[in-house]
Amino acid sequence: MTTLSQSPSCSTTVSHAIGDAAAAAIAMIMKSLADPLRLRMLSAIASDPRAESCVCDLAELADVSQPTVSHHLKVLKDAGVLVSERRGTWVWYSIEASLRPAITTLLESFAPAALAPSASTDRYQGLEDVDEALTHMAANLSARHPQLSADAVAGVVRESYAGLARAARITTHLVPLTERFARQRLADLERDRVAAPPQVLFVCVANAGRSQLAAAMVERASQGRVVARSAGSSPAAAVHPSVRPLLEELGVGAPLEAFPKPLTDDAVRAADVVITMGCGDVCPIIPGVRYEDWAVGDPAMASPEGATAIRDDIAVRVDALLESLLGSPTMDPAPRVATEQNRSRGARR
Amino acid sequence: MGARAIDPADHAGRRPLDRGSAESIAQTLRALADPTRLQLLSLIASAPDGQVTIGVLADALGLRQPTVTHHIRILVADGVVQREPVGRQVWISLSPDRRDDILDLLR
Repeated sequence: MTTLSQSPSCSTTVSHAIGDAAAAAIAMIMKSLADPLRLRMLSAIASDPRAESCVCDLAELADVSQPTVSHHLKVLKDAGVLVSERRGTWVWYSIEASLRPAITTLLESFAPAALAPSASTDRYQGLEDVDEALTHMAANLSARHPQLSADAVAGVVRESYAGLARAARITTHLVPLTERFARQRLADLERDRVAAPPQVLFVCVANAGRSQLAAAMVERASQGRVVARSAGSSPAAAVHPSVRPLLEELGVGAPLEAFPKPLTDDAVRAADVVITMGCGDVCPIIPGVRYEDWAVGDPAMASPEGATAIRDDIAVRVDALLESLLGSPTMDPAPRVATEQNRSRGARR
Repeated sequence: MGARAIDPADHAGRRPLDRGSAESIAQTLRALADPTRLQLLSLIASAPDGQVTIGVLADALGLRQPTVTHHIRILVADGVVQREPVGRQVWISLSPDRRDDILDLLR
């Protein structure tokens, strides 16, 4: 299946790159596909036994509104990936015939390879000195965790780096982020479930919105009486832009404070309560851990007003959670957020 | 822990992608969906012994070396491409486990 795209004259050091026009055309199609919802709709159409699907089927699949589905279908149609035909009440979508082989390759061959875990971690290294930095970090952290073996600490550090590097677009903060993540994980490994304050883990898909907000609210409203962690089943490269200002209001706006992290078994094991927010299917079930699923909206897809409404929805749930964990109403319930708003409103006047 | 699909539409033995998988694949596609990066990939893929230096890539596309390094870093971060420093040179090649699929996509 691998026909090398070698040019006949490969006597020169490097044969030809694909042309500018071809590269632009392929990039345009790939961009139209580089969206989780569109990929899921495409894969639903590709795996539909009728070889076509109607908007009604697709809205049900992704659990989003029909206008949202229609918008994404239009993007795919404009890119020439899908063709549509109106029959009766519904518009039916199918994959453009000439692209069918390519789409099959993408979904059946490329997709599994993209998901396969990497055998080596060093392929992620973008900087020569990363290795040295990680070794140094492991030695430092090992001194702080005498109960854990040096090998175990080094393993956590390297795994943390690999886990973050997989999602990272910009590698400038990768080493300090690795250190923060590794510290959390080492603390989780050593956590004394009986004596330590209650610990909550929020898990969503990207760890770029909902779970970050919830963790920040717990930390702030409980004033340290409850430890909050957050993670994503498929962490994004950075916190979503529409969520960043909301996190800043909560005092954790800095990139080093709130950053998407992969979900680890250790984090689940260390938690007293695991709250899933739209990714319940990938969270490992560990005995003795309480699980809750919060059906809250995804701020990544929301307008600024929508994101604020989602934040307020999470705040109400966080208060109920803290009450259940601490046994009394929190000193400073949800309206902490409102106070913040009043303050900024006052400042504007 | 693998992502398991929970979609109701489970037709004909083939399931639509679940959400977590779709997120990962979209991420890789975003890394690839750039004309310059596609051209770089096609150059790397068609290099006689499967690897090239940054300098050769820059010359072939008429780009500055820092520009090429920037794009290569994005591809390395996604695991599509690997880099191997040898002396003062850095050799770039397709990741062995992704090679076939990348070639399929470039055709």
